[in-house]
Amino acid sequence: MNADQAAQAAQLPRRIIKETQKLLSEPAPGISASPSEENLRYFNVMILGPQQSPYEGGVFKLELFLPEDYPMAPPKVRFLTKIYHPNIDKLGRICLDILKDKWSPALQIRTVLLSIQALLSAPNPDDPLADNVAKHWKENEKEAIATAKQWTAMYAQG
Amino acid sequence: MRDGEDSGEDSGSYVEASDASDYDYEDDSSDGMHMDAHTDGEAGPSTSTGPGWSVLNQEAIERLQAEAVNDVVSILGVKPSVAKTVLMFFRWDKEALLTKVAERDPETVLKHAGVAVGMEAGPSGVVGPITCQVCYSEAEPAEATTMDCGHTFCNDCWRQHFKTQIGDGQARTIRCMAHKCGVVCDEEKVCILLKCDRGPASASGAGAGSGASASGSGASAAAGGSGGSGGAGGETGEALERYTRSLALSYVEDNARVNFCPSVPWCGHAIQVDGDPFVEPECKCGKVFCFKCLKDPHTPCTCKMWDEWDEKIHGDSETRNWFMANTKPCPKCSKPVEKNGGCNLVMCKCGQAFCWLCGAATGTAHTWQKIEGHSCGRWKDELDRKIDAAQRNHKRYMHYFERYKLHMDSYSKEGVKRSDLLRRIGEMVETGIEARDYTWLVRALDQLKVGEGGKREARGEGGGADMGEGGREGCTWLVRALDQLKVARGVLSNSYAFAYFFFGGEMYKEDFSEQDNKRNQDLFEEQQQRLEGEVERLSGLVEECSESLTIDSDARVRVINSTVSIESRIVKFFEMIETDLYGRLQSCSAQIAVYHPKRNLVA
Repeated sequence: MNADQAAQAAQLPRRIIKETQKLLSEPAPGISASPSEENLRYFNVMILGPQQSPYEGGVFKLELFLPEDYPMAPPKVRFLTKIYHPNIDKLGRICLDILKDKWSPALQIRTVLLSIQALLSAPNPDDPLADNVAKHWKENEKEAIATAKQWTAMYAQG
Repeated sequence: MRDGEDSGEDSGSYVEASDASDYDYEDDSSDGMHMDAHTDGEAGPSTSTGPGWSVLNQEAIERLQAEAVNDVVSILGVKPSVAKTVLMFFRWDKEALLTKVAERDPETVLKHAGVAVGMEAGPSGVVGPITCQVCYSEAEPAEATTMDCGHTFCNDCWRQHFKTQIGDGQARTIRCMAHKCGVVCDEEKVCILLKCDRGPASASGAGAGSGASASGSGASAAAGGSGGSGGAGGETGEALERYTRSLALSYVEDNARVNFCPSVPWCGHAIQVDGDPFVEPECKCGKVFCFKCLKDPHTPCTCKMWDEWDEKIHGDSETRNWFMANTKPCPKCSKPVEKNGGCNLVMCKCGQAFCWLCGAATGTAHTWQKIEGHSCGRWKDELDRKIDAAQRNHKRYMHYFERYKLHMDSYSKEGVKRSDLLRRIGEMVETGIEARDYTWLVRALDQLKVGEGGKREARGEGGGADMGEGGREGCTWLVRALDQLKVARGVLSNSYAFAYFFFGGEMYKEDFSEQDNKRNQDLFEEQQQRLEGEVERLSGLVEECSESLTIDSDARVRVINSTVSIESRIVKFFEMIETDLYGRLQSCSAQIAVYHPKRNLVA
């Protein structure tokens, strides 16, 4: 930690420091999150595609940002890797209730990322963000899953 | 509790007798669950209540809110802040709440409304310092608060949470910070926390001091606290103010039975209806409006009709004229298309080609002279018919609009006439001419003053009872005639808007055959014309009377008779519209404000 970072860290709320420490020392399985060097509120995140999901074998990059009023306001999370999923649109925005109205200050970065991982295992086409993907999922799930696998191979490996 | 409140308010600054009538009415309502215990027969006419509605001022709003809360407190056996939460969840519909409670068990209902049930963890449950799960700091019990749901967080975090929620406009549903808890934070606790930004901390200062030796955590909390108190004091105060204001406004804003008076600038009153929202109340400020859509009174038109009519008459007619003259609607997307040069084959932005001459869709193959496979000549007939229909429709609209406008203009003139009459009577009284013959004028003047701005003082001194007497003897019959005229003008003008939509428009096309329509229209127009005739007659009579102000009893009787006759005609007119016209609708039900004769209009 250089002097610049130390100065930054001194201004961070205790909660963010603690969460960061814990994320680094005891990472959740299949998830890694590390703060950016320039901005300790910005995290580079990687989530492994869960087993028995069309995303298995893929490594998905996300960005996570803790806004000024975190934890009173939810973190902002976005997929950077292209992904074929009914609750994630083509800009990588995620439709997940705890990132919006169901956010609670008692939730953490870790719980958010675990929820996103769970969303990959259990897509919810009834609450879609990407309309056409959700439609595909509902009308022909088999084919949609095949596309998701294809995308995983094309964009999330390498 | 209520007794104390009542006596307090009795001795309070209730100047307006009309307020006291509100007050009676509320007393009635608090006896039972229903709000419709209405005191129609109270002494003295009052503009503050009408059939099915009443005007509320700030104190009345607060009192009604407190009473509703008290009722729920006694029925459900919960504390007032909880009762308020539940009532806000049910949008102040006590009957709906009680029905739900009867259908299911109260616990489920309360839980659904965001109330902690069966979790009786008092704040005393916290012993020793806790680690706040939001900021991860240690907090002494005195620096932490446990909500009714049993979740404990430190006071700083609660405060921050409240501020964020209030800032987001969520003041009425601030939920506990714990994930999936959903319990609405107790009003009292929110207020205490926001009030004592430093309160609990400083109070616990001595106690915490001994524990503060527990190293860095205490120091950092103190630093955070002092940092916050300087800048955040005002911010917290603001949040508290917004919070209390938001809760106070809930009774009006969330309540389907209460609306603020839409007067501009706002007069400070609200209107509460007993049940049926289809009424046209008159606020104390004089504003008359449709309770449902808050627009000008429009019965016998439905809100939907009025919306379209309003749009039609206030829409930018200049723009529309230009469109009519210079564009043609695309046969596919119906957007107006302007021809910007070239041949008669025009292409809409949507990709549809059509013939500029006749407006019919065509293919794209064409020469300057001819569009392939298209000949306007063949379509001449249909074109004519189209133009005919459009012209007919426009003429129809102009017919109804002109008559609407005519009565609207008279409506405003009637108001001017009224104040003019008042002024002239005043002048006559001042010059003191033959006071003996003009006692009725003097009385009338007093009467009119009561009717105008001077309500307050006059009524406060029991002027209400006086009014009936004075009215009978004096010449308020003339003013009443003017009032009745004004009402009738309003009804007539609206009836033309109604006719435009009801007979032959698109709105009820499915409901009536051409034959039915004709019959309906005849029925309607007959009564409308009779009413119109009577109105014009009275208008003339009143004109004569108020010109000279020397009135023989014959003229007086004629005016009174005409006034009464108009009143009963309007009542019949509305009966016919409701039962014979709206009553026969199949496709949809239509609700309008029922016409109620003004209680003090006809003696």
